[in-house]
Amino acid sequence: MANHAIGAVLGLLLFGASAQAGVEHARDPETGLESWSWRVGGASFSFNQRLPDQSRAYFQGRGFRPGEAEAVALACVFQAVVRNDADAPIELDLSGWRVMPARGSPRPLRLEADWQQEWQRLEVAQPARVAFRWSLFPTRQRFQPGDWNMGMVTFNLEPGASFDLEVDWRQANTARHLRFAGMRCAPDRQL
Amino acid sequence: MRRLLLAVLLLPLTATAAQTLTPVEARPMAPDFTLQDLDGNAVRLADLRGRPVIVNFWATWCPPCREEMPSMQRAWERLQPEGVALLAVNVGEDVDSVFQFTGSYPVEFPILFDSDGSVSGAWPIRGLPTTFVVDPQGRIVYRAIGGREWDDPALLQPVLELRNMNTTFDRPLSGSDR
Repeated sequence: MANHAIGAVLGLLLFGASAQAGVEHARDPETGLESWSWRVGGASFSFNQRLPDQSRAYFQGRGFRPGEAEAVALACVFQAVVRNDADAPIELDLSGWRVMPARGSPRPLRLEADWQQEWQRLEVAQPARVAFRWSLFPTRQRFQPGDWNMGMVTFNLEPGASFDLEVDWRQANTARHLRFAGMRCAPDRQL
Repeated sequence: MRRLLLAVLLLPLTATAAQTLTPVEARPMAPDFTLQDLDGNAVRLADLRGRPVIVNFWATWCPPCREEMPSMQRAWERLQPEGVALLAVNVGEDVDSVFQFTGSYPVEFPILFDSDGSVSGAWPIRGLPTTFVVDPQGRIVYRAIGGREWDDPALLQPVLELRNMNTTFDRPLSGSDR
């Protein structure tokens, strides 16, 4: 446990300077999974890699057929956590966020509504679609002081791909912007 | 020295602000529902008129939902004798999954099943867990997005005060208010 914590701290020290000021980058010494986080003025954003295998198992466990779960698993899934410990509300609209791939053109995230269209076309079972809706980070959300949420986001890139993430939000009716530089999709490997 | 370095580096990650419930200024009527509990009994929200009701939307696969369950049980032990009801509405799962879950997270308050997601779709929810406090007149008066430590008196006191219906809604209630 102590080694684990020390390793995590070393991860922060080793990788923390590589991104925009204030953005911390860490690598879990046990799993090798990476995370990028930022916290200023009571607002915090955190993005944690999820292995494709984790998403395969998760979505098949929620009632998706293997091919359907595979499509999500290979779409660069991250677990996002947003907290508002500030004094003013935070408003998010993921439809305005942009993925800037190291190779290729900027693109929006693949949002929950985009996936639901696909699930409707494939006639995915209703319980699976309900679970999917609540598993993904809400596309639009207003966080009052003390609120927080976590959920999956899909960046629609191949496993292992590098990219920057452009994040926009409003805090106390002021537009805010942040660039998470040098992010990477988890590779398609087992833990 | 190494311990000091650890403590300094981890401090910003572990510090938490006072817990709050957000007042819902418009106080809309809570959408009524009738759902089955683990034993197959029908529970209707409107039947609880006359007392405060905490309505929690959750799922077993949601980590913060799982994390807040033990404190919710402790809160219920405190609130039930005071005439406050607590309903945990599971979103989209079957009885077997939840029954298995309660083996690891034993709770005594009613767990209801919104199997097709129609009830959660009718409430103003964007993510799980989301918890509402309904006043004795059936109106939504507080909301909390994300997990909480529900046995915190800072959260329970405003719920208990609803029994008297003298609550004002000028600002979020927090631990610093008491």
